[in-house]
Amino acid sequence: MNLSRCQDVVEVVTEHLEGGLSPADEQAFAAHLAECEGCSTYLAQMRTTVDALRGLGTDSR
Amino acid sequence: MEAAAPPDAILAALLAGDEAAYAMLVQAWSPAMLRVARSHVRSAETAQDVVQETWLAVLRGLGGFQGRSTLRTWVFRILVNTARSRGAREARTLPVAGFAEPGEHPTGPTVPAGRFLPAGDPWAGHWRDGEPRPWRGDPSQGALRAETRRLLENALDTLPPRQRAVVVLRDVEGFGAVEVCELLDLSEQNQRVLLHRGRAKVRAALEDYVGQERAG
Repeated sequence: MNLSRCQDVVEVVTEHLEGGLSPADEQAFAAHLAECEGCSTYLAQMRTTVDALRGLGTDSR
Repeated sequence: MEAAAPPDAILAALLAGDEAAYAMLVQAWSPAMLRVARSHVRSAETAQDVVQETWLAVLRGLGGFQGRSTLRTWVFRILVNTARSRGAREARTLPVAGFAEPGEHPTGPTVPAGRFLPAGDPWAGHWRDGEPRPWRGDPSQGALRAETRRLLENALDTLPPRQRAVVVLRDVEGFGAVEVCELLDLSEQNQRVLLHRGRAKVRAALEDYVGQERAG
């Protein structure tokens, strides 16, 4: 998978979080993030989104 | 999400007609069931009906439960099927287009192309300057504020039905991927795509809300 463009990287964040990327793709993903603040931020925002959704469930108990 | 006693003990108690065990289960699972039902039907009232119908079906069918799935998967499958029937009945007043639900585009970018530099630019496909907009504060920290909860609920409400169902089950209620695929009759890949697209939309909703001049 070519993960040099941010536009493609954002489409695999869920796969990454699910642990579904191949080792090679996971490496390419990590390499991109190491040099790209934008995508690192995007991933962090996705994580926050998931955490916030989790909080929605917790709050209803 | 978990009731206190181990699953086998609960099932045994239910089969023995233990009303306290049944009441405990209803109390433990109904909030999640309401939310999941709500992701398939249009109103909170209908969702409540669906949950009640489900518990009735559970009581009726408990004797025939063979333990091929967990009790939870079995109960939630009844719930999803009941909710879908109700949802389909509701939808007959409104035309529904084919297999892909209205508003659901299975392909296409989950982040608007305008956020990235266009073709022809030396950095084509990379984030434009200032993108993605950083968030002020972390909306997930501590107990969710009422405002944040409302925003998330609204964002979930605007998702296409199948994306909403997956995000609610996976992220809000913490069901595993395999169980969700079972419940919703989805392939692993399909489930992942729906989760991805749903989450991206919710992130976008949070971005509009959090990326403003406001604290936390």
